[in-house]
Amino acid sequence: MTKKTHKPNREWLSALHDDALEQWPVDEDFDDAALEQWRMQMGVRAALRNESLPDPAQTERLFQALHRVQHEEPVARRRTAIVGGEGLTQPVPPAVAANDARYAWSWVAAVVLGVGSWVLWVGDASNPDAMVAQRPEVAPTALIASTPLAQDVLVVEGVARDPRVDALIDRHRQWGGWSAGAAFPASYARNVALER
Amino acid sequence: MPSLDLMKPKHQPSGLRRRLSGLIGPVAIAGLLLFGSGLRAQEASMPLTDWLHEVQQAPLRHTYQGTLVIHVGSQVVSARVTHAMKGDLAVERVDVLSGEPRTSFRYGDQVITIWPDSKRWVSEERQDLGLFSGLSSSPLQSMTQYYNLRGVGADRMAGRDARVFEILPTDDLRWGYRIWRDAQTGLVLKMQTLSVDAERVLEQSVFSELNTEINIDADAIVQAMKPPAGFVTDIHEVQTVDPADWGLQLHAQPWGFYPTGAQLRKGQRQPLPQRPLQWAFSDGLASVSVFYEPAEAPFNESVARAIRQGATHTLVREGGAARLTLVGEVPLRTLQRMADAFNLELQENVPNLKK
Repeated sequence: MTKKTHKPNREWLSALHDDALEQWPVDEDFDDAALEQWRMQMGVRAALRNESLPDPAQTERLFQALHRVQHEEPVARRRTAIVGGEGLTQPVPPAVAANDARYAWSWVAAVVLGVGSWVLWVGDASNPDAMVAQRPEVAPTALIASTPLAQDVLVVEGVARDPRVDALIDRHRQWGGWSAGAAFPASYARNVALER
Repeated sequence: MPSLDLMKPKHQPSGLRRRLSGLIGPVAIAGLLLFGSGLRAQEASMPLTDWLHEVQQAPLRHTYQGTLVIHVGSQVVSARVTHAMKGDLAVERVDVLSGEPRTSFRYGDQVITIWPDSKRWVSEERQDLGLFSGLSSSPLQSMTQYYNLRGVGADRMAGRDARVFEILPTDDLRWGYRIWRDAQTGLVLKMQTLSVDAERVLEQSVFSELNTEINIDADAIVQAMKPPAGFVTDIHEVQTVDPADWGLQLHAQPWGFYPTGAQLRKGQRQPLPQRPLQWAFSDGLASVSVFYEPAEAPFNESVARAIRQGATHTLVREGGAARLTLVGEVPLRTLQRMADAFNLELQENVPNLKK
């Protein structure tokens, strides 16, 4: 894990847009200025993408949901078994950990991104042209949810944005991947076309 | 005034013949439908392994050229596919039409990729070139425990008549598949990977057009595999290894995923940071790669994260002295269970890396 460097609040908000959720500092908090900054960034993003501005009422519901999550006790979450020191594996009990605050922020940020995306989606639903225009050529990385089965796992959808992980996905496709596709005469073509 | 009978056409059929001739069309259509549905029923009642074997054999009997369009999540890529046979070996050329231009060739187990812009010529070995490669007959038979085959109906795809089938999972640890087979050649025209409940399409590969009436010079494809002058050549070779050599074992196989092989880069003596051991598993249809690498320095905190790209999940777990990365065309829960099982094995068998 890389050492976190201090960044101003608004920079962290910007990083949140860019999916740098895991680097969110433990001591960083959303305040009113941060929320206003978030609102502004959403507006700028909508303008840059030629999208409709989110309905203020929907934005308000987003902030209310955020506020609610911020003030709720974190739900007890199952931590997956992890590899412990010296190569041994130790199941981690659901006890308070030094980095629980970071996990709590992960949940908050997940709700923010999830509801935010929903707000943008609903805001654009009446404008099909805008929906087509905003469709990226390559799927962006976007936080979608923490699933019940993977409550401590951040699930992102789209490209990995991690060259190391990208390389392993390619290796999976090159060597051992998609045996179902072997039934498909063009499985090899599928794997080749998906490599980067 | 002539009688009304004289106004009838001379060759008008009698009422019985008229009624019979009126029945010919519907009867013929019904017959064809019954025949077709009979074929489908017969095909769908085949054991899954036999059916898949038949599907795999189809391209060995035909040459074809077509455009393949692949949808993964919101990503769409396409490729021009040319397929021929040279003796008993398939020869295939794939011109990728999306992203950086590149052409990939497959001839038997040899795979060559040419990157014209960066003037690179890359040779590598691939395992995913045959159905059930690396699997023994026993796991093949057990595959029928986890999937059911059924015929769905008829459809048109890429301008051709197709029969549609579904391979649906019997548990929630693997995806389902919907497959369109060309009625004439048996080639797969379209394949969808479905969510566990078969309600959502996670990934799709489809020929937008396919020509099976074409003469393709297989020798010309093989000739084109040679490195062009001025290109940098890069040969990726791997070696098969036994994970048990480093204390890595995975005894429990309760979900039908069996190891199909493990490898390191050629010349690499042990898993290294950034150069992990790859261990492949398959249930006959779905596959999972487990990448194990020791950490450069012990991780101070444990992190788990997952990435979803269409039907492919990636789970990264880092903690203590190791990083596990699991990649597979399976639900996330399957990767989590395998990672848990793998971690338990790590707990019991401290990796004993060769010096």
